[in-house]
Amino acid sequence: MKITDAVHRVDGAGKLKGETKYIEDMHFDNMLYAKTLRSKIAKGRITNIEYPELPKEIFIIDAEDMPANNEVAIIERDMPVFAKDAVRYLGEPIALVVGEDKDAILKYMSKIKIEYAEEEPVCDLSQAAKKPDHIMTERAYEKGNLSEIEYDEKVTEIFETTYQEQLYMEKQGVVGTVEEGVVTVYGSLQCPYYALGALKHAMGMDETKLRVIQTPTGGAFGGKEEYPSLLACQVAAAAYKLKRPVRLVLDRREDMAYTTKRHPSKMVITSYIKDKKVLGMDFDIMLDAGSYLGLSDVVMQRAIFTMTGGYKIANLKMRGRTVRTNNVFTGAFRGFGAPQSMYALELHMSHLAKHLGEDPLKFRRRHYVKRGDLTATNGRFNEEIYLDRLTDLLENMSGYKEAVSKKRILAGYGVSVVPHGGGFTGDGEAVHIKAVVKLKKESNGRVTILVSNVEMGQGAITTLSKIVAIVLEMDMDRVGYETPDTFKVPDSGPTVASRTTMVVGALLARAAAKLKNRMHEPGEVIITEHFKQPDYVKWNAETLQGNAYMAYSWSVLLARVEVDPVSYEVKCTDIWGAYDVGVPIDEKLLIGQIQGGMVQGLGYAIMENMTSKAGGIEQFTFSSYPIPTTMDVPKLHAEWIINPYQDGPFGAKSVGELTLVGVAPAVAAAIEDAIGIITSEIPVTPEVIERSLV
Amino acid sequence: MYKNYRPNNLKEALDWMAEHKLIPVAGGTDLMIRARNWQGASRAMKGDVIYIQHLDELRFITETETDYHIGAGVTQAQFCQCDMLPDYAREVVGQMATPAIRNAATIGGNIANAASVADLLPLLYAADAKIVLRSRDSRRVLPIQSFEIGKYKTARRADELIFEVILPKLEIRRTLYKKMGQRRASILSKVSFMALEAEDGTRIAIGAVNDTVVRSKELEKRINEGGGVKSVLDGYKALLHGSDDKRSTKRYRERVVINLLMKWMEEKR
Ligand SMILES: Cc1cc2nc3c(=O)[nH]c(=O)nc-3n(C[C@H](O)[C@H](O)[C@H](O)COP(=O)(O)OP(=O)(O)OC[C@H]3O[C@@H](n4cnc5c(N)ncnc54)[C@H](O)[C@@H]3O)c2cc1C
Repeated sequence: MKITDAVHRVDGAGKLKGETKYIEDMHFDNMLYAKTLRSKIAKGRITNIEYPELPKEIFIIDAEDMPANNEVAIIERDMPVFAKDAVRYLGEPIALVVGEDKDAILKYMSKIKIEYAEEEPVCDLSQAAKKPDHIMTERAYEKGNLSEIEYDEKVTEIFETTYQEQLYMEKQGVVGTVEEGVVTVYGSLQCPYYALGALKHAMGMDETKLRVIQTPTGGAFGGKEEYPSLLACQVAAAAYKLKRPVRLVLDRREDMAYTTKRHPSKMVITSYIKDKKVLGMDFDIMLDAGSYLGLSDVVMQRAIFTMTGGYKIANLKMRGRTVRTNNVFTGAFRGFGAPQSMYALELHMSHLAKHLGEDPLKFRRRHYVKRGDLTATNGRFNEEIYLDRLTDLLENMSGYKEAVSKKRILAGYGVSVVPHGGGFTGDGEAVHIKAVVKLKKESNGRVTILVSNVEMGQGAITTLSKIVAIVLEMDMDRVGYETPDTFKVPDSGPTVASRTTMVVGALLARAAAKLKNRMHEPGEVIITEHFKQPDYVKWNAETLQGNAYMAYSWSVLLARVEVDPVSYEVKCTDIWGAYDVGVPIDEKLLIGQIQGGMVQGLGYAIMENMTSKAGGIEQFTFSSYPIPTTMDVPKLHAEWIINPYQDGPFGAKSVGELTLVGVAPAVAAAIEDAIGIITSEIPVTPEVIERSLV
Repeated sequence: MYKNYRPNNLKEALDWMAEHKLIPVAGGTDLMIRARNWQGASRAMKGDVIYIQHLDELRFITETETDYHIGAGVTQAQFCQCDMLPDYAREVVGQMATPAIRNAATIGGNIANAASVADLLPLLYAADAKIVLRSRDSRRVLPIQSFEIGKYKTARRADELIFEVILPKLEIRRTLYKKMGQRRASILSKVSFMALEAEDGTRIAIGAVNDTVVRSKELEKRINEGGGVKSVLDGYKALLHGSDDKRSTKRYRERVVINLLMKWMEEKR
């Protein structure tokens, strides 16, 4: 078997047969249900809460019940587990109402009276950004000398993006229990050790008294990165107080309205052009972080570090800000800042090409980076970069030149070229994550993978098992995968940042290579591997200079759309993608990621409109927040080149996020091409098109 | 909690409805969602319910020389699959919801629910359909316009069931149906537009913009008489009271209606 050959997914049969038990299917003896009591206003002080007398079997868990700290430790500790005196967004949790009978819980909740001293919420991103105390974090860096350059002209554009909801099929859900004196949280989550970290702080206990166990996770897309830490603290406190299992599963509407989603953004981009080339760029992005910082600062960093995309631009001025509002707090979502900044950059590049009367790919080619070039942050691109080859591949597979030269009515083409850095930003893998993996040979000769990275539908178990099996030259079904359980597996880091295959897979490949020589030994053998930062990664977190990422994956996309001149509806007919992900570990899984990313990106581009009104998400139902159905999915064409990465397992780089990032700018450009408008926001809904036509 | 009634036949259903105040449940695809509650808690029904989807007496499609008779319990799927019914009507139902929902959702439910976005209504308005209501002691026939009296409001008395829809047979020469939603399937209408040219000329019904379907015989007459395009468009503009909401904008809704009207009138020439 070659590493790229497709295999059956390890988790596939159980899921197809409906045998996999998700958190809502799991049985716990004596279990209680929890429902969240939420703020009805976006900003204010709580002046009084009147809880009617508690019937037997109804319990309240609130800030007073937090054993150590009423704070959720994410990066900062600014978010309370339960709002106490003040509320900062609509729907903020104030308490859990816990009981045996759901009807009784609801009846009791309808009688709770909360009085607020309401304050004027700040919900508009641009307005908030004008208030200095609403800037949570600000980061800036420069390259070259933008103020000194000579240029023919400069072009400034403003772009805006809205929320995007992850819309995983399985809603957020956790169960807290106390098992033999250990407070244990089971949950649908991406990062068991993030939840454990939050629990340690909130509960004031150590990892011997706290335990997190991941349950089969029905989709996550970043939505189950940091948010479950909040839920974990809530149910842990409840279980600890009541000494019974407590289950908290959000309803779909709660999940859509009150959990993290992609940051709305506003971006201003100015290009300085000389001889039909971009000589310098000034980029400013602000993100609506909502009321708590969460991961927003890191999201913003990814947005500004990758801002120059696939292009070599000598003079730069970059600034990013995270802005506090009284909207729901925003967080991780596939792409993590890049979907916003790459939308702006790539649509801007298409606008510039048009302005200069040039083919958008030809214009881009003049700026392509290659190995050895300096990155935006003055690191060096260490690996081979084949952007021209990828662009040729795209042009050939789509018949690009012929297609765009033909006269078309109401049909248009748009392109994008996008990198995505795999793994954590800068030296994050070495300094913050410090991944550890273990590989264990059992006495019966089987091998078990011990990592904290989870299967959430993306195929992690399959790829990791395959890597180990191929290195050990054994059948995949003799490789097992331990449930990510903080009592059993080491901290190999969170399941985020497209790092699982590239980083964790590489550690497992190394461990497997060592184990191979010891497979003949009797009994158990355990191999432990630690992450080591490659020599070429140099990063200064103060000055933001150096290699922002270890290695980049690349995509070159072409989208074709047709626009209905009567209803302004957009039909995306085709998306072609040429990819460099190093070496794909399993072609079928790669295609799965590509198709899923294209479709999720298409939703972001044309239909997933989510807005906030007076602090409340307006589209919090399936009937108002549309994601593409099969009827909306275009023909998806994908090809890739093989470009082994020296530090990836079998040469693999990252895949997961890349596939979404480039879609929106390509589709937006195609719509513009079809109907002759200029757009500056996504989603490009028929309403936006109608407005742009005047 | 609420009580559940399951009648064995139509007579029993109508008897019970005469004696108790009961909410009919057909396919439940509107009702169960409106009665949503924390998953696992009891449904938030506004009263006791009576199930009618299994009643064969409501599941028929027949024709006379002049009309089709469609039982209220006919599902959307049955409607689409019925060769006897005209294509322009089946096309409308075929664009509703999803295959799974269409297998459960009934014609009667869509009409009785009286949502402003209900997709059957523009068709029924344009075709001058009639609604037949039955109770234990009465049978009433109402034109669709008189039945739908507002958003989620109908002329149905609490003891009545919709028994059938009477869809007149038209000699259709030309049709234009367009449903605009936020995506291509499984989505509620932002605007829906049904234009028919029958033996007596143009009929136009516009759904999902106002609380109820817009139909103007006067403006249709103006179109038939070849009146000025501007006066027709202005006439319709004055009738449209769209609004901005989480799904669309007033501007968009009204402009698309105007575009479709223009297309309809242009194609005529
Ligand atoms: C995913 C999804 C997609 C949908 N898409 C569409 C769409 O594209 N277009 C659209 O128009 N609708 C759509 N709907 C709404 C719904 O499916 C339709 O309105 C359907 O026709 C309702 O029929 P039902 O039998 O399920 O009604 P029910 O939910 O059973 O009843 C609806 C209402 O009608 C009353 N009622 C039902 N039958 C009778 C009767 N015989 N006499 C008197 N009262 C009665 C009930 O008391 C209730 O008030 C969708 C729903 C879902 C869940």
